[in-house]
Amino acid sequence: MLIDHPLLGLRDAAEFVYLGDAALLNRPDASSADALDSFHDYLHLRDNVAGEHRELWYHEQGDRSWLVITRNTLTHAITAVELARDVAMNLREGANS
Amino acid sequence: MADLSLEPESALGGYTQNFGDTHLREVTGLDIVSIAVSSGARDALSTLLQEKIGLPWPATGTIERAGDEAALLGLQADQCFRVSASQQQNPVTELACLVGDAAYLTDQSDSWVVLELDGASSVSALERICPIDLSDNEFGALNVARTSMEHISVIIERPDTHRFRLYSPRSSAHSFLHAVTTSLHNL
Repeated sequence: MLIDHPLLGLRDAAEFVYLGDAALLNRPDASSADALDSFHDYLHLRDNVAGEHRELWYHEQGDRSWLVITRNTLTHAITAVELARDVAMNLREGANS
Repeated sequence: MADLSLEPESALGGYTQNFGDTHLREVTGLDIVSIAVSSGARDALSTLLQEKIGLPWPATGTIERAGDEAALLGLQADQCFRVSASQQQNPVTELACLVGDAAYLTDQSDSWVVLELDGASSVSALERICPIDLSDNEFGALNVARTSMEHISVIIERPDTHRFRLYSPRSSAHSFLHAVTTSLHNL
């Protein structure tokens, strides 16, 4: 399987490490009133998606970047690859606006 | 007290060998410094590097070169390696005077073993163990990439069409040499 890295182009999937659901980027606010429940869900609950899934991959044997990859879990087709840094910064800007 | 004089040894003792039309050798005498951009200082660092050492910040995957032994290897968005001929002094101290607080610098000179593969069969030997597409239009001269070969971490640099430099951790230098020579024997 090849992954079309946004900076480096097509790279072998063997260079990457899979982490899991990209929802891990949405860390709950530890100071909120429902922080205990939020962190329970954040740590332990995952959707088991049959279809398009956004997930975190780490380019360990490459440029050490984190990526958000949109992959179809039924076909393994990859439809989008983004730098996790860009995704996280967009999330932060959205939260602040 | 005994009068001792110590000489540093390279990881492979200066290995050099011909394989038909292709030559494999260990490159020694290099200063290798990791340059990581300080937060928010990317533009300032780029300007300083251009002014002080005459090279721009390298785009990820490319090499900026001045002469044969001075180069910046663009390894990731906010980090590059400066590779230059050894000056017999601390390379970090010298570079820190030039770039100040715009970068975090780490001397990695003795952390890597560097092999150079030069000759017409270089690509044929590497394509058996390297997952990067080494065709001229995908990875031509002045390209660089981090990858792995035989499960060993490697930085592959292509200074010109028939020449490759391979940087691998010194601690597994002999295993890496074995991987490369095995591929050359199998041509």
